[in-house]
This record gives sequence, structure tokens and C-alpha cells, in this order.
Amino acid sequence: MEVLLNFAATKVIAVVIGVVALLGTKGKDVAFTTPKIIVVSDTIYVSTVLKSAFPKGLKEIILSGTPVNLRVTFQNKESDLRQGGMSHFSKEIVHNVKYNIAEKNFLITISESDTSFVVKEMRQVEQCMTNFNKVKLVCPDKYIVMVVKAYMDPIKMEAIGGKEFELMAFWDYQMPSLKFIIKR
Amino acid sequence: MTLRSRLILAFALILILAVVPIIMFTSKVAPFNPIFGTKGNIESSLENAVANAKTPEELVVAEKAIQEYRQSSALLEPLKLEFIKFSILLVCGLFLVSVFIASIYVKYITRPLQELTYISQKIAGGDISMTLNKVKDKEFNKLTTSFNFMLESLREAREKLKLTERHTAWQEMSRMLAHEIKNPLTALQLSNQRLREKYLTKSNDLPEVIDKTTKIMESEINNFVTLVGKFSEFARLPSPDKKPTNLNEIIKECVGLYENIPDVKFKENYDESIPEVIIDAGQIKQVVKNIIKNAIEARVENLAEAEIEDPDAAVEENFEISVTTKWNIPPRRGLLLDEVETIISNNGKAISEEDLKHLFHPYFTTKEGGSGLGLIISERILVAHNGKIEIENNQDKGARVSIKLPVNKA
Repeated sequence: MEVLLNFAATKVIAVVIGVVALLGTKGKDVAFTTPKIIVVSDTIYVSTVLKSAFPKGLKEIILSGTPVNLRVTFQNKESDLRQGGMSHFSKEIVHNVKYNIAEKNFLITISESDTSFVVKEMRQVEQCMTNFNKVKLVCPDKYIVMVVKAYMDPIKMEAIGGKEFELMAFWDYQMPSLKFIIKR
Repeated sequence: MTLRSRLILAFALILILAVVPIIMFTSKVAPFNPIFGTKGNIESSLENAVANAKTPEELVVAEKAIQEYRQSSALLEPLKLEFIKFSILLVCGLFLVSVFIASIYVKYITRPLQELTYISQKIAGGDISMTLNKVKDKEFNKLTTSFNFMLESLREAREKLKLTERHTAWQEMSRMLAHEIKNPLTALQLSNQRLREKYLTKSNDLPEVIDKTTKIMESEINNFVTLVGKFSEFARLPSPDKKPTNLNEIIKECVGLYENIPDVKFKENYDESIPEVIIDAGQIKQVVKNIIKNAIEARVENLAEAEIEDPDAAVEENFEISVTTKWNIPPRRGLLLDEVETIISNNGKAISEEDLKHLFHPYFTTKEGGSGLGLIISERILVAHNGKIEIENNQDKGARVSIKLPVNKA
């Protein structure tokens, strides 16, 4: 008991400060994985995955049957056009999910391939929504500074009287982004 | 663990024990709380409503209900997390604040104890002139009164002791001095009688007798002068003029005086980390020189004795005086003072058990022509420095003298 009390008296304040510091730290940030890039003539194929994008609250929103749009934009950064890039290149991809409460399945729509399909598990939804495989970007420039950003559309929430709710709150209002340079 | 730490800890634990049930109640027990209400039952009921809807209208209503419920849950999820975070932060914050308040409060209530500890340290250092201030607290006031009463008794006892010591010292001094004076006087008296007798009988060997007798008389007078000189030194020992001093430097200086004596080796081991001590450098030098001189003189006497018994062994003797300084930190530093210890040890002949008992008695000496006052003067100097001197035999060979001086910031 004496040993325990001694320990507590000397270490407890350090522990308390440690807990406070730990609570002050943020959770996992939403982020893109390192992209895989394939360049074929004027076309660039980019593959990446958005990590930690589905926190518990967002999954709950999807399960409520509210449609959720995840948008990813690809842009040739304007300030780097002087470096040799000429085109104001921009592309947007939208991944949409809608839960069918009665059928208990998810309808996923991918704008890039213009396809829709149904999955049963939330794990599959997460996988399909966050995976961007071989996104085709046609840009003839010799020097490209490509910036990729992801965000979610706001939704209307019946629970708060049909008011708009910013889904980005689940990402701490931080847009995950990615930047890479291509020199030909 | 100190009383202060225990009280602070108890204060903090009580606070936590008071706060934790509140959080538990809010997070777990309250079943009607909209944030922490039982989720599973409501959700399964709504799902059943969707599954059992008979008409499209019923289905739309059920779906809308489940949509609103799940949207609410989604909104409440981060709130729940934030609530838990806030609760933990609240407990931690309250804990730190309570420790802060407790430390101030405890400092206030333990102030008399701190004062008591300080005065105890002073008493341990020999200063009993202080008194504890009276406090408002009843319990501490009783303690303060008793402590002050004890100090007063101690002061009276010390005064009585001083007086008794003075009387005893004078008695002892008179007795010893009479004894020491009597010896040379007897020798002088006998020499004088013999000289007179030879003169009156007009003895033939009168010139030889005059020569021999006057030599004896001169020697006895010299002994007498030495004795009176030492007595005077002992009686007039001035109050120490204390200043912060590096003890190692003093010891090195004393050792340097005897380094050139043949067949005497010095082994020096100084702890360079020792703090400065507040001493009269001159008086402490006198003590150290006296001890080193005693060791060397004892060795000469031992050699003389050994030479008679075994001349070869006496020549081969490898005499060494080891001088060490070290810093002694007491286990309970709050009550006892640190001290610096000087150990002067030799590998010569050990002191007999009987002699050890009388080393600090006035006029006790084993040396021919010794005054028997050297060690008692050394002891007196060290007592005036709140220090002490101890002499004992080494386990294997020779004897060791330990001089301890307190590290006092006063």
C-alpha cells in the first residue's frame, strides 16, 4: 500500500497531464494513400484510396437512407502553369451511396464509369466509395502539378427539421488532398 | 511519504471519488437520457415497423422514422465522445486544482511542524537559544508549549552542567597539576640535598656531582616550563574564528609538513565533492597536525620497542599513514546535518584497550616527555566547532582517528 501511495504521489500528476495531452490529440486524419501513376502518351492513369473516411457517425447517416455524395477533384494547379503547363485541367468524380431501408442493401453509383451496383455490407460500401482505380486524366502538358481533393456534399436532415447538415463535420472540416508532379 | 504528500493525495482521491459516480450516473445509469438511452431496442422496433408495413404509405412513414432516428444517432455520436472527453478533462482539471489548493492549505497547516523541524535541526547542531512561536491551532499550541518548556529545561540543565563541568575541571586540573609539579620539584629537592651534602663533606667528586646534578635540575626545569606552557595554551584557547573553508586544502597543507620524514609514506584520498565547512582554519590545522604528529611519534616508539625484540623486523616495517576525506549524508537528512569526515589511519601498532579508555583524559600520555594535553586540546577545539573526534583500532593493523565536522549553513 505504501509503495502504491508513494507511486501515486509522485507519478499521478504526470499521468493526469499525459491523459489531458492524449485527449487533446486528434484522431486519425482522412487522407489519400500514395498514388500509383501510369503515363501513356497524353493520358495519365491515377490510382489511390481514401483512408479513414468512414467514421461511425457517417456510417449512421448512410444507414438512415440519406444519399451521400463523395466528390474527388483533379486539378492542374494554376500557379504552376508558368512552369510549362498550359492547360487549365480539371476533372471531378462523384461516388454516391444510398441505403434501402426496406431491402437492407446499398446502391452505389460511380460517375466515372457511369455504373451502379448493389452491395449488402457496409465494409463493401467503404471499399467501393473510397477506391479510385485508374482514374483517366487526359492532359498533354509536359509539366503537370496535379492536386487531388476530396469532399462530401451537405445533406438535408429530417432530424433537424429538414435543415442542411455539413457532412464534412465528420472529417473535422478538413479536405484530404494529394499533390503530385508529372514531367514528360 | 511526507505528511504533506499524503494529505494532498487524500484530498485529490476524495475529489475523484466524488466526481466519478456523477459521470458514471450520467453515462451509464440514466436510462432516459436522450444521449445515452438504450439504442438497440428502439432501432429494432423501427426496423420491425419497416418490415411489417402493409401499405406503401405505412412503409414511407416507417422509413422516415428510422431515417430520423439514425440521423439523430449520427449527430449524437460525436457529442457522446465529446462528453466523455470533457468529463475526463474535467476530472483531471479538478484533480490538478485540488492538488494546488491542497498544497497551499497543507503548507499552511503544517507550518508549525516545519518550524519544529527547523528548530530540531538547530538543537541537533547545539543551538538551544530559539523558541517556537505560538499558533492559533489548539493541538499545535499544546505541542509548542511543551516543546518550549522542554527547551527551557534543556537550557537550565545545560547551565547547571556547565557550572558542574567548570568545578570538576578545576578540581581535576588542580589535582593533576599538583601531581605533575610535584615530580620535578621532588627531583630538584633531591638534587639540591645531594649537592649540599657533597659540598659540606668536601667530597672529592664534587665537580662531577655538580655537573651531573645541574644537568638533572636543568632537565627538570625544562619539563616544568613545557608543562606550564601547555597548560597556558589549554587555558587560553581562544574562541574559534569560523569562516567557510575547503577542508581538503587544510589537510593537504598539514600532510605537506610531514611528507619529507624518511620511512613515512602518506596515502591521500580526498573527496573533491565535499562542501565547504565553517571552521577556524588555524585551530583545525592544529588538530590535524597533532594527530599526524602522534601517529609518527608512536611509530618511532614502536620501532624502538621492536628493535629491542627483533631488530630485523623493525627495519623492514613499511609504515604508512592514510588520509581520507569524505562527505557523510545522513539517511534522514531533514533532521540530521550532513558532515565531512576526515580519517587519519596508520598501519603501525594498535593502541591497547586500556590506553584507549584514557586517551582523552588530561595529562595521560604514553610518550616520554609528552604533556598529555594534545588530544584534549584537539577535542576541545572540535567541540567548539560542533564536531567530534573518535579514536579506534583498525581491524587488521594500527589505529584510526576520525574527525567529523558538520556542514552547517549558519
